[in-house]
Amino acid sequence: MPDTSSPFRRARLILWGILFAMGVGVLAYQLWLINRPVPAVPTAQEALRASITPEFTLLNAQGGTVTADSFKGKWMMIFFGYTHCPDVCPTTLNTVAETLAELGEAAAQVQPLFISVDPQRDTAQQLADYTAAFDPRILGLTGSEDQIKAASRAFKVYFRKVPEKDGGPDDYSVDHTAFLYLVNPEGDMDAVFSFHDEVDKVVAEMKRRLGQTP
Amino acid sequence: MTHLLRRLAALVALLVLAGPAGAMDMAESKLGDLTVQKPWARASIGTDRPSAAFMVITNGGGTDDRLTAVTTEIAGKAELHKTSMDNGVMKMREVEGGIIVPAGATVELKPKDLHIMLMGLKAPLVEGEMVTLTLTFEKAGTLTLKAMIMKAGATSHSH
Repeated sequence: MPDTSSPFRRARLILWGILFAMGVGVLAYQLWLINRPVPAVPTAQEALRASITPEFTLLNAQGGTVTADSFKGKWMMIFFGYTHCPDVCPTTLNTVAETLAELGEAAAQVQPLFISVDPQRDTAQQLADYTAAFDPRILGLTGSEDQIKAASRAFKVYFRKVPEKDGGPDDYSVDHTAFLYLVNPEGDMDAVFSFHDEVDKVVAEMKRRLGQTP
Repeated sequence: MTHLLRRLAALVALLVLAGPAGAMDMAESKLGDLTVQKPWARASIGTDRPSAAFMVITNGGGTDDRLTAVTTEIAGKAELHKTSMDNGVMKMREVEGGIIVPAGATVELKPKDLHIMLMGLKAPLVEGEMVTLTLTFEKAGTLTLKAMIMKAGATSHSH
């Protein structure tokens, strides 16, 4: 009868033990490979947010000069548009108005701003009349051509006049980027919402930041 | 007795007035194979600024048709426009040749999309009132209807 005494058996056990441990190790490694987090690729909106320096020097409804610093301490929600806009601007300003309504008391921490890309037609009074139709808390800002251009550059806003066919010098529409910019109370860019983001999404994002349960 | 008669008269008057008013809340109008539903417009902000009107058009027939023009007394000019996004830039352009309503299809004029632009307003569009629009279709002909004026920032026909 062959000798199956202790040393061989122990060696076999150890060998099986090592093989088993190796098997477990390989399995664990495979699982880790599959489940490790994917490195975040910046979205276009995130890349846009990172490229913006939230600065401006503009005029308010009373003709007084205001800058981004004037609103520090509040979340600035900024939209660039113009008052002769029949579709895009009313739609977005309505989103802002509805967001404010949904936030209730927390809306006091938000300063919505509507910056005109049409200083030729949009005087401070024009802007005040316009924004009041959506929500009295929305502040309209205008300025000289240079001030508007500077603000647009800072926010990477593109705009261009498009003359109406058979129209006069005051008959034109304005193509423009329609993002909603969020600047935090410290004056830093926080988020960029797209024109296609619905009210629910904007409200949820704001509630998160204002410490409310969405 | 007079009190009761007066109450009855008031009720009758109410019913008489409510009747046609109810019929005029034209949530739906038909022209041939076309049905236009839920026409509505946005209140204007001052008369210097354009406003917009929207609706849902269904072509229940077998031939394509096209909305080619819109006229209204309240605006000097009414054009068919489409809002579109091109690389993040919002553009609004006139729809050349009119808005096609293919056979069997439903076309929706709604915010951020196709709409009727009302320019050169002669009077403000006031929330709660109605505005009369006359639509011209290439094949079906003309259709006059009343659109409900909603608030300036409204995004749909219903509140």
